[in-house]
Order: sequence, then C-alpha cells, then structure tokens
Amino acid sequence: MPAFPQDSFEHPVTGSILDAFEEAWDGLGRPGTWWTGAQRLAIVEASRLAMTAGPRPIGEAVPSLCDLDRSDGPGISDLTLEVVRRVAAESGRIEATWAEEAIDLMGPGRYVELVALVVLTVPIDMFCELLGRPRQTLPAVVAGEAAGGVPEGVAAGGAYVPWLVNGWKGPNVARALSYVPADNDRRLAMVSSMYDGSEFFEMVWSHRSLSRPQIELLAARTSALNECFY
Amino acid sequence: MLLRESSNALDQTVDLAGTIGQGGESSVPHGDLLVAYAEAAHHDPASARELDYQMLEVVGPGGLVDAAATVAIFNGLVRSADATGIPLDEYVMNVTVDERQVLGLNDFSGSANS
Repeated sequence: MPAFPQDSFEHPVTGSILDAFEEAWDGLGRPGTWWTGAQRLAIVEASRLAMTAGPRPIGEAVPSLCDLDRSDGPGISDLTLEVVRRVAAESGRIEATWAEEAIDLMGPGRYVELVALVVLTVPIDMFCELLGRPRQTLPAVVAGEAAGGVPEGVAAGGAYVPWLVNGWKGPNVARALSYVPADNDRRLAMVSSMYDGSEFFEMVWSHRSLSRPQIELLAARTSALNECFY
Repeated sequence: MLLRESSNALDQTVDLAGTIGQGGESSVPHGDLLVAYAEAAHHDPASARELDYQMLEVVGPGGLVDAAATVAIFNGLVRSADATGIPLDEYVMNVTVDERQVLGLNDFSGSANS
C-alpha cells in the first residue's frame, strides 16, 4: 500500500514526485550505511521536533558539542540530537568550525547520513503541510545492522565532508551527500521531480505549470530566507 | 543567476532585489504573489494555505503544486548545502560577483567556504 497515494492530496501531484516520495519513505526505516533503521527513524523524529520548535533565539546558549554524550547505542545520543537540531532548524548558522567538530566527533559517514535523512524528510513534510495534507506516519523499523563502507572515489576536497572528487562534472550540490550514495540517489530523485526534471540546462521549461523564472524566483527567495549562500 | 538567465530567455527583465524581500513590483508574472507564498511558507507552512485561493485563481492547481514543490525541495537543498559546506560552483561564482555584493549574499555564513 503506497504511503503517498494520489488521492491523499487535494490537487493532482505529478507521478514522479509521488514515486520519489515512496522511494524516500521506504528507505527511512531500513538499515543505512552508518545508522540502523531504528536510529534513522530517531533522527527523523528529532528533525521533525526541531522543525516544529524552529531556530533558537540568537544569543541563547547552545551546548558545546564536545561536552555532549556521544554514545548512540540502540538510539541516538545527545550529540546526535544537537547536530540534528542545528541541521534541521538552524542550518544558516552552520560555520566551518562547528561542522568540522561535529564530523570529527561523529565520523563523516554518520554526519552525512544524518544530513541526508533531514533533507529527505523536511521537503516531504513541508510539501504535505503546504498542500494541507497531514504529515505521513513514519514507516516501521526494519531490523539489521548498518552496512558500512566508503564509496569509491570520495575524498576531502573543498567541502566540510568528503565527496566525489575525480572528474566530477555536475553542480556541487548534486555531490554534496555522495558519501552515502543510496540516500543521495533518493534525494536527487526528489530534486529532479520537484524542481528541474531533466531540463536543468534549459532556460525555458515546459514540464511545469509555472515558468522557469517563476520557479527560480520561488527558489531564490526561499534560499535567501534561509540565508543560504549557495 | 538562473532567475536572471531564464528571464532573459523569455525576454523578461528581472529585479533581483525581490529575492531578498526588497525592490518594487516584480517583473516576473505574478511574482509578488509567489514571493508572498515563499515567505509565508518559510514562516509557517500552514499559514501559506491562506494564499491558496489567490494562488488557485492566478496560477491554477498545477501552479500551486509547483510552488509548494519548489519551496519544499529548496528547504532541503539549502540544508544540504549549508551542512556540507559546498563551495559555490566556479562558473556561478564568476558570473555573480556584482549580484552577490549588491544583494548582501556575501554576508551569509556559508559564503566563507566559497
């Protein structure tokens, strides 16, 4: 039974968007590369709470990452909760020193997969809310251990996290999460279905109801509101 | 950059100040409504629904779904970019020098990594 049937939305939603949502949702509770299914769902729940709470007021004390408990065990640690909170609700405030410390304490794999889980679910929840649909219930946990493994071709090089380096031709945002290929593929399917289709390099779009300048205006205003430089 | 380029492709001129909440009436068709939608969605997605009637009247159900999809996916893309510290792509860096300066984008914390 699909999690996102067409008739759960008031207005027709493109099939490719629904397919991408199904794919993303199906993967949430499964063991990932660096987190178990239970831990992945705990990260998503923490991200939802952080999105609801919003950013902390400027000036409010935030905990030092190195002071936080970092034993994840079967659930997630205080360190992981704090990193989720920053990525989900305060990403515009992330600076290199903070990111480097988080990656150092968690390891690049766990950090990148955490980011992937946030950015897979924030758009789906927001899309549903904007269209008046309740947030989707999270899937069940699928038992099993995280697979581990670093993909071939990733290395340090210009970003906070290791990513695909040699011979990369596309935009940097497409390889941002290449350390966790399965989740990155799910994310790129969502980007394609919700934004550019296969027409990124075409300046006149015919695959959307809105024109490309209208889409880009929405995108640029959203990026500026989030104080995103990229 | 893509807003400017895609507007040029349709022989439209665009005031980029609208992207930072400034400037006069948008030159993008129904741009003022779309900016208001993006802003409402940012502050409280549920409150953006108050604009549904206007959106449906002006851009139709397909336009409303497109707007929701764009705002939603860019809320994921900005988090991907900021959390991983990806630098601006070289080509974009080179052709947006003036815009970044004028719009104050260089003041965003993520600019330090580009």
